Amino acid sequence: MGIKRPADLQDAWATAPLPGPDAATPGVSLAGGASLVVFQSSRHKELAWKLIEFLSRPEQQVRFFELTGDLPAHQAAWSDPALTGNRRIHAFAQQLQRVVSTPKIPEWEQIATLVLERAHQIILGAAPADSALVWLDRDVARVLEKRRWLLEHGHLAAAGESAP
Amino acid sequence: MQLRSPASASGIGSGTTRRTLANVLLHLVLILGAVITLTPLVWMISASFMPAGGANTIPPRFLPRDPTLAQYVILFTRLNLARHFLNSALVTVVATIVSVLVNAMAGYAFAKLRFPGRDRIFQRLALALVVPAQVGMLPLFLLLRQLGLVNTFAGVMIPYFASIYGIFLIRQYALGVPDELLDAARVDGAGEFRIFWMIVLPVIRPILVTLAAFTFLSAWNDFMWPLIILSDSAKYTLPVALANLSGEHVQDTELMMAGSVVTIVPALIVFLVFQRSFVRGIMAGSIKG
Amino acid sequence: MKTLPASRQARSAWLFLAPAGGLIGLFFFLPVTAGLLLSLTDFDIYAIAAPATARFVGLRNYLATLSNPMFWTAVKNTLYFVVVGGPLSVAVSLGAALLLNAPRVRLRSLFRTVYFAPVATTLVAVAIVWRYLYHPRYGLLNHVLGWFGIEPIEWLSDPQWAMPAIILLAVWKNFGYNMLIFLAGLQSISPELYEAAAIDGAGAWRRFRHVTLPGLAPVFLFVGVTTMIGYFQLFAEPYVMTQGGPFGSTRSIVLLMYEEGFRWWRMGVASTIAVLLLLITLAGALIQIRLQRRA
Repeated sequence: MGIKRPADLQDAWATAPLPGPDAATPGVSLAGGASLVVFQSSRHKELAWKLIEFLSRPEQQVRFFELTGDLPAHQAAWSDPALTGNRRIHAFAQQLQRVVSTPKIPEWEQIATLVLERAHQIILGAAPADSALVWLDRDVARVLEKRRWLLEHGHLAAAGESAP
Repeated sequence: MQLRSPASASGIGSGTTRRTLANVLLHLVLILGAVITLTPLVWMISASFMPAGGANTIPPRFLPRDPTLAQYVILFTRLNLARHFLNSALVTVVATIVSVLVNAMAGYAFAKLRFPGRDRIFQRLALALVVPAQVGMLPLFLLLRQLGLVNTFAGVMIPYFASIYGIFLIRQYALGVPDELLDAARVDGAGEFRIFWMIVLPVIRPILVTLAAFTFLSAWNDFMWPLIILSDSAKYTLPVALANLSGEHVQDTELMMAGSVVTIVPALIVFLVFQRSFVRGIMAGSIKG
Repeated sequence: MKTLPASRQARSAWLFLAPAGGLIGLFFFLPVTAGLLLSLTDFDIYAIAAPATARFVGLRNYLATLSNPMFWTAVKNTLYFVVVGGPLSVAVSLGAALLLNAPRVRLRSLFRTVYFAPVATTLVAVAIVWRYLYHPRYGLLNHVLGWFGIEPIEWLSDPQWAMPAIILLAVWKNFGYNMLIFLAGLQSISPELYEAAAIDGAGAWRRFRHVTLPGLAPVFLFVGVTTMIGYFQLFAEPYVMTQGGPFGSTRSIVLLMYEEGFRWWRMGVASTIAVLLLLITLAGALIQIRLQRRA
């Protein structure tokens, strides 16, 4: 509890975009974050929409960033000095050019958990990175085997089909 | 006229002193054991009366400095725990009543009614006690889904209605019902069900009370099955609701302690009121077991 | 006149048995059988909506599970709990029973009630209480350990201590139950055996070894086997306190089964795990019976 943050290392860190297999293929990140929604059953749809409009404005997004560190979704907000002046945010700006959303398949959560499990093994030194990745590939193949079989045999429509 | 045992004849004081010392030591150990056993429960109750953050002190406080009902108020207003309490009560009471009837009938039949294959069937039932309930939980879930009983109170109760252990308990006790009593009634022309209802049930009342207390406790305390079968949080029984709350409110120690108190108190009350029944049931069941 | 009443009894017997029989048959035996069958399929979330997509895969689930290191970790964790927690539980129960059975105990039924009380409590509720008792900074346990100069232990976040923490909780919660059974056993040992041993000059320890322990042999068997069977089904404690962590050190077999079946909806695989649990439990029970018979 006292061991986690030595004072002299407080500033000795930086950020970088995710690495990829080679210089030509930079790393891809998963798009995440929160969503702003208006419920269909809302009795104040207009007001809710007004709030969403307000929160989407670049100045408000910058303000959000200053308050909580949440990254702006509005691209215009990124040219604000609050963000351009922060050297550690630059990596996120780069990374946001290369994001994909999580696959919309029912197996995704299990796959994400498997990734965590194997990552744990690598971090704890319980397994060398190369072997762990091979095993991970095998684990994921096993998880996806049924879905691939269903797609092959026409039980599911192809792209965009999510869980029934 | 006092008889002195040979052991203490050697020194009038030493034998009795040693025995008294041993006795004092014995009671000290017993008291220490009681303290250790009760401490978690006492702390739970005490912390439930602390204001938010009151339990997160160094050193930990054993008694609240400013006792308050605030946590209970939150539980029963904002978090609507009363609803979960009632859910648990409904499931438990219905399960207890049905279970006593169903198991009593079957237990009595195994004990006193003659029918072909009786003992063989009973032995097979006994073997089934080894099977972990989890083997059947998934298919039971799928079966109830087919029957439209997922996420219903009926679905929660069904596994409690009949239990092999309950049948055992009843049969054990019913074996002691005098056959003459039953045969006399049969000679008088009474039907089997009438005999059961009017003669047998009153005679085996003590074990019925025991079974009711056991079923109440196990239905009230059950967690895994209601967790699986209920998806609508409004229908959650107390254990499931509590587990759910504990995920969200992991920082709110005092609130969670109050929730635990509400969950545990009815079970403890039932136990305290029926403890002799419990003790007798467990001790008697094991000797023959 | 035995035939007439006998067949009437038999007819009534079937009626008496019908409700229990129907319920147990439909909601226990049928699902257990179905579980065995389900373990041979790849029933999953696709099959829940469209049963036709379930495929019969024979023993593939078994091979996959038996070659899955996560399964073996769960087995190891569960065995740790059973092999350490079981005997510890039984020993504490026996100790409490011996204390309560001593000749001149005052307030015996009060102590008995107190010792049994944890058994009546709701496991989820006490697991939550103990989670706070185990808090590294604010928890009572580390505080008490501090009186003896022991450094604070990060009970539930340390892979080495998480399972021992759960074992401690389980022992506390369950010891009262077996205590009652041991009490019944102790009270059933004929006092003449003790007197005979005392006359032969046997001291307290020798009497314990040669009268009490052999007298309790059937009780040990019963208590040992039933406790083991119960402990193999470890679920609620890791679910509530650690979610199987840290680093999977408390993921029990049933917790793994729950995750596979009700988080990932891979019900074929989950049924396989349940069947394997049944086999492991049986094996454990048989081994224990054999060991105890020999001792």
